[in-house]
Amino acid sequence: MRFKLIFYLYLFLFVILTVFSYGFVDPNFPFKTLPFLHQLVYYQRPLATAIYLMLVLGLFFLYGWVLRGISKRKLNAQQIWQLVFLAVVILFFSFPAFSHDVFNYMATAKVTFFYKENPYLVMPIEFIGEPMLDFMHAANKIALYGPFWILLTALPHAITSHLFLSIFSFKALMMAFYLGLIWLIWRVSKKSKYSLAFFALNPLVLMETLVSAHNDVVMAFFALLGLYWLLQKKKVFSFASLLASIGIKYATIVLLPIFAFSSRLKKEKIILFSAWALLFVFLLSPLREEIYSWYLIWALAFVALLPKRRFLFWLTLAFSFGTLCRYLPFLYTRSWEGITPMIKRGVTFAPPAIMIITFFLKQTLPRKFKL
Amino acid sequence: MLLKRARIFVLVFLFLLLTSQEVLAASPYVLPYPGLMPGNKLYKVKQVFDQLYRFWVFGDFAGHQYELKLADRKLVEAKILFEYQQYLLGVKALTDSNQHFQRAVDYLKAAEKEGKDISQKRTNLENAAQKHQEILEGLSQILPKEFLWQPEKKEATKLKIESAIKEAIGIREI
Repeated sequence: MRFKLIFYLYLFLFVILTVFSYGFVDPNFPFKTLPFLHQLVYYQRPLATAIYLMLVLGLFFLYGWVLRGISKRKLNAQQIWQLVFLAVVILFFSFPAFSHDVFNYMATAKVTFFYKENPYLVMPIEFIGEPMLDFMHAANKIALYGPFWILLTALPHAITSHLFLSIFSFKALMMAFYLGLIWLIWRVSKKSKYSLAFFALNPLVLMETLVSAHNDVVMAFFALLGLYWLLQKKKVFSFASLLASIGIKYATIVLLPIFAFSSRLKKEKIILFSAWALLFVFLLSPLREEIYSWYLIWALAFVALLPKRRFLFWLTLAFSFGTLCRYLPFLYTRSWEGITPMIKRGVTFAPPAIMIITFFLKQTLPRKFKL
Repeated sequence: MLLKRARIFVLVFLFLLLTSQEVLAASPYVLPYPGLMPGNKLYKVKQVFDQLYRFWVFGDFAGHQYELKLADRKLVEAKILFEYQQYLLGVKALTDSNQHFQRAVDYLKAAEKEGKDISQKRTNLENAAQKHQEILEGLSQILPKEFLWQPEKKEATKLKIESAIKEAIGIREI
């Protein structure tokens, strides 16, 4: 009964999220969305903001319910996998609502494999008449990602040249790596349901991977595959996989020293140091641009393997919620300027700050005063 | 009073007439700072780097940009070398610039053949060519037609500077 309810609530939220995502289709995109959805997102902004917030809260509520159900042994592995496949099947059809990055991936692939130009030297904007220029937001940038990523995008690029279908070929690639990543988490954690659900059903992972189709799961997949082989003492494969991960988005370069000195560390320490290292890079990301919610996926993949580390668990959970709330001021104002950056910073750091204070109060207060 | 005003007007007019320089259709194209120059010990390292970087460059647009950048830089090198009467090195830099410019044109033609819209790049190339020609025409005013380069303990070389500059201008007629 409990699982059925969770399943149908997830189904409901995923369907709403998928429909809602089509309100974010850019007005210059060659395929138009339903007028009421466009009206909702672009003109009924308080309502759109409220819907988004309700979706985030709803997903976190169900996430908490699932994790609690696992702790109390009321949910089995098969049921968790059913929820994962439900998410994949429905959210595959969603539009990449909250980010334009998938269009950057597509454009970079097109520059490389269609125009046969070096994407690190030639920008998409240089191809006059290219249809993607009408709605792209970073056409004046050279490729931002590593060469291995560009190589991987040859596959979705080759599947179709149709603009709209291309979005889904790229989404399919992300979904394949999402499934690969959670399979690795499942294997490395020795079939821990908790680890599986912690990562796979985290609302941030669902939103940023299955909806917005960010490539961070691909980088995390190769990093975790490296860890998987490292634990199996297959060092050459391990380093090759880590290099592949670095060749996607560079951030996992911080894992190199941990992998290099892994022989002196126990399994849990390797995972713990990796999680902290990637969390550290996530926290340093404002030095480059700003904290993007999907960067947290790097650390989440490793924190999922540390279910006993409650501080890390709550910290990443708080950041997951906080960073998803970063979209709220934009949805309300439709502007990344003005008051938006200040609110974004506030909502990003308020939940972790509250969490840290609560966590330490619980640790330090005498038992009778504990929260 | 009227005469005084007329006198001031004439003086201002004459001042403007005599101090202003006539510039006919100056190209807005900006040439780069050349960095290390031929003769510097590290210049060879720079050349090796340029050669290695060539392996990184693929595609017609990227090739065009790379060649045009080198054509620009070599031209500035040639200008400075000529101004310092380093004619042998100057002619060499100018010849290199010509080759790079020609390749830049070839890459653009190849891109056009592949169906790429080259209108913006052609405009940029035309601006570059115009700027190059301005520099070359300026040099032709101050340089000797020929020069016998006589290094110590080596055979002399007769440098046909005027024809080299004419050839360079011709290559840039696009």
